[in-house]
Amino acid sequence: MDIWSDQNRRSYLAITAHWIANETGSLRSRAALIAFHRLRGGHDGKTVGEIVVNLLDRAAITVKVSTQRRLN
Amino acid sequence: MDNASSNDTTMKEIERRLHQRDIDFDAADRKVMCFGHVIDLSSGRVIDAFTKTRQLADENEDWSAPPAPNVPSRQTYEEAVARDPIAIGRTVVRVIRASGLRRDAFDDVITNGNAKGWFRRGNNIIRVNQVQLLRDVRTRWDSVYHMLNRLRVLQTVRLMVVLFFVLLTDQLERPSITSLHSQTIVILPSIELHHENGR
Repeated sequence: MDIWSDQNRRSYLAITAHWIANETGSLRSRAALIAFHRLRGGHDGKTVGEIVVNLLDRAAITVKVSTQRRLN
Repeated sequence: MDNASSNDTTMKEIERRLHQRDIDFDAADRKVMCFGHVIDLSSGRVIDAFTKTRQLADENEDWSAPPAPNVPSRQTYEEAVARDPIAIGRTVVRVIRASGLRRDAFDDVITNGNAKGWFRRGNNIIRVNQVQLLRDVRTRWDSVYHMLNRLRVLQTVRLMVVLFFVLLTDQLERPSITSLHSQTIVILPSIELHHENGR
């Protein structure tokens, strides 16, 4: 996860996911962009935390994690 | 993530919200410090040990270093380091980049030098790329490296830089900088030497 500003002082938040995939018997390092979000207004730690969870929701990651947990 | 404390707050908030939904998440366990940031902090400490001038101490021109030997190419590595080549390089870059006027003049030196065959490496006339010197910025990773690298690329321009300052002397706002044209000639070779030895 990273937050940065462009030349016009607009802030952006990006989240990438990194994992090891088992592809036809061999392990491969994979990565994907999960979210790329324009941050409006202030971004103190608490607000960023809220936004991150919302973005994880939008990427349908939180749903998968909680389902998996209930199955266990 | 970098090491700012607001990141701890973010992680705590993520933890709180996920716990509400019964999802396991440990803020401390899940926080991975940004590796690039850690590397930058480490290299910054090494650079600080070599250089006396902090990068943001822009107001104090540091000409207090001991004078260079008469023949700069015979400096030892220790002598070159003792003259603080990073701080000197930083000052040179800052002075040349101080205004649009000076950057344009520097650009003209390269244009004219290329047109008239001023730049040489050994006995060969070479062309110098039409680029500006780069400032280092405390918050920008690798910028000290890029600054020194560009100084090195432009090292053949150094004699022309002296000429450049002689021409510019009348226009300089700060009196302390007028001594630069006599200093520059010994400064840039010492940076060059620093690099030669560092390779």
